[in-house]
Amino acid sequence: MAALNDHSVDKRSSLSAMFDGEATDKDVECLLNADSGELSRQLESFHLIQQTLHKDSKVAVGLEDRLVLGIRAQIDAEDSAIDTKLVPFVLPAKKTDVKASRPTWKVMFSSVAVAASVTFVIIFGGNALLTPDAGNLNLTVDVQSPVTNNTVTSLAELNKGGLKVDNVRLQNYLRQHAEQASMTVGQGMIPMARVVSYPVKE
Amino acid sequence: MQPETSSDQALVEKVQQGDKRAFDLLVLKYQYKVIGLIGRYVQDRSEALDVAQESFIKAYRAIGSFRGESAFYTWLYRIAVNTAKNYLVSRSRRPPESDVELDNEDVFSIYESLTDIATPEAKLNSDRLEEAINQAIKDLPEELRSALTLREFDGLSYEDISLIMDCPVGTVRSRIFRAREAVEKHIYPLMDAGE
Repeated sequence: MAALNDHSVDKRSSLSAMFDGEATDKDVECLLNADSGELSRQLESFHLIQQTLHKDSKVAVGLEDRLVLGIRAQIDAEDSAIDTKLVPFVLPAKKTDVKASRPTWKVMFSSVAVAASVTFVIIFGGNALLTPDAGNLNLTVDVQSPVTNNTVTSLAELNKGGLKVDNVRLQNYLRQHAEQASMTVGQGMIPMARVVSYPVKE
Repeated sequence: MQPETSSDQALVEKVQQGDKRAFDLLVLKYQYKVIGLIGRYVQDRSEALDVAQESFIKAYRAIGSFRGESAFYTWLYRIAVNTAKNYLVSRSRRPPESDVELDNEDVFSIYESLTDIATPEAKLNSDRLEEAINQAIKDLPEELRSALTLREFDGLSYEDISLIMDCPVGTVRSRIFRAREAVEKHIYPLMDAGE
């Protein structure tokens, strides 16, 4: 019984020190295991004494540990809700390999290669379509300029002999693509029709 | 004003490590101050309690980011004031133009502005309590009364009081505790009557 009383006195002494901001680690440990209702009751009287010494004693009594219990209940409820929500997300995250989720260099290289191919096809395909007869490269284009009357650019100089074969292959490809697109998707005809009907000046 | 506390920081660190009981202690320690502070903004008692609860929960949620650059109560004070203001705005009520100053907040009475507390019965009980406390303090032995008033009225640390009273810090701690215990015995019956 005496030991129990000593323990209670120690606890109240620790609470007094904590109230003053002078608690030691031992005091804190002692208080962590104490009943919150008992502590609240005692703290209430400490506040009353403090406020009376400040000539300000209108302290409402009876708050006890209702507030702390309400706060604890809400925090626990929120924590359990968060835990429940996290389960489906946390488990797959542990299995996910960060490296695997990143694009590999192979994928990146193939993407760049496809983009380069498409660019190549568009540029040289456009040039080829501007020259209906790839074999006859004596085409000249007259450009009227306000500064100089005649500026002549020869595409023949730009195109070399090897380009002829490529142009033929490209035109075959485009034709096949247009035919196939017309059979599958109606919209496929429209862009090709525009390209084919592009006015060419001879 | 109480000196800023290292024990608060110890409790905060425990909360940051996941010990909810440490947060319970912080709530118990500061609930009266926080309710008194919020009572300056929110007049109704039940509303003030709700706002106080919300403030503590916000503090709990944000305590991981508390680095101890200011005192815990200073940090909690800002959360409570902002929560009270937001509450008023959400209720389409206008917050007061000037904030309660932290230094002055300590002398505001807890609940004094809360409407349902200021009943004649509550006022009478409050006056009785004040009278009983004053009488109990007067009846204390000189060494206990001095230690308590130096701590509570002058806000001195245990170490400062030990220098003034020329005694070990442990003795100061013991005297203040005994003084409080003696006063408590006088006011417990009145506290029960007030509930």
